[in-house]
Amino acid sequence: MDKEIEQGYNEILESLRKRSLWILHYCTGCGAIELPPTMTSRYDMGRFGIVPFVTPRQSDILIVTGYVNIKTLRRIITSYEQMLDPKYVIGFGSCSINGGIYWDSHSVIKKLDSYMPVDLYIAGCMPRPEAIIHSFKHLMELIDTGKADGYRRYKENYDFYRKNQRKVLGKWR
Amino acid sequence: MEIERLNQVIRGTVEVKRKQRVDIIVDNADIVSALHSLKLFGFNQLTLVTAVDWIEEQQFEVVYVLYSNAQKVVAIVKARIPRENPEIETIEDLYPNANKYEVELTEMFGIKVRGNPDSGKPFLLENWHDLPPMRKDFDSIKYATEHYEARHRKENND
Repeated sequence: MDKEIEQGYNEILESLRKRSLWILHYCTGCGAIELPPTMTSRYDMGRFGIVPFVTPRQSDILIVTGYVNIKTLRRIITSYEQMLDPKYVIGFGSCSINGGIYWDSHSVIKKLDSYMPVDLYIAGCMPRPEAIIHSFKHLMELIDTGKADGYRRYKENYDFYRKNQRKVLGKWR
Repeated sequence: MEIERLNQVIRGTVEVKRKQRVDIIVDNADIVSALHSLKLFGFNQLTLVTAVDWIEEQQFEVVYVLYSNAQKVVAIVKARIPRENPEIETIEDLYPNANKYEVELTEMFGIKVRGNPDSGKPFLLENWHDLPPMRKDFDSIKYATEHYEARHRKENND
């Protein structure tokens, strides 16, 4: 009986959670240029309860906008680990999926989800604001159905992620 | 500006490309003195320091881009140095912003800069144990495939 109550409680929580998602306003690559039109009056993501925010501790979504090089990876992992549960990661653009045009670069990683758990990818170079809004709505569905469990996967497979991070970053902590 | 006068004060080849563009080719030993003369001539801004890897000729070409705000002229100073144990003299005393460009030269091309205290310190690259990446004999694709995991892709998309 307790389990059922807890499950129901979680369902209510998650359906409330999806109504108020705050984005960590940290932009890694060129994809950041598509976010201002999404935020402002033309596309206005505020109508879904999604607003940009400046500190990782109050944010729910980390958008990795574009290529991630070694220097950036260190910073986004630190930011991601500072965020409180529940937290979601959106990989933005083809660079975070498979390296994009930086596939042969000496400093850009090619597969973001081996270093941090990604809930959702948006394909394209660049994705249009419509695609971003669509992905937010999809993320809301994922949260509602309990499928956006990246933060749980990060805890469960911490050794796997840490091993991959050490492989490219060296011993850093 | 009397660009022709540059010929008299700089030991090297001065070539006037256009009205607002001068190319100056000097020897390795004359870089600092040439830049010093140019600074006295009114070239008060250092825009860029970089290098070109001429691997077939076994040489690096160090390139300094200067700009004169008063005369609106760009001067490009080029010097060839040998590719084995490349070394140049610092110009930090003349143009303080050259510091970071020289650190980058050391990191990206392996050109040592005498007199620059920061030369050789890690700046952009982290955890790097390979050839300097901007050299022509550095294989970027090989390094990327060895170090960074690639996404497995399907053979066909049917």
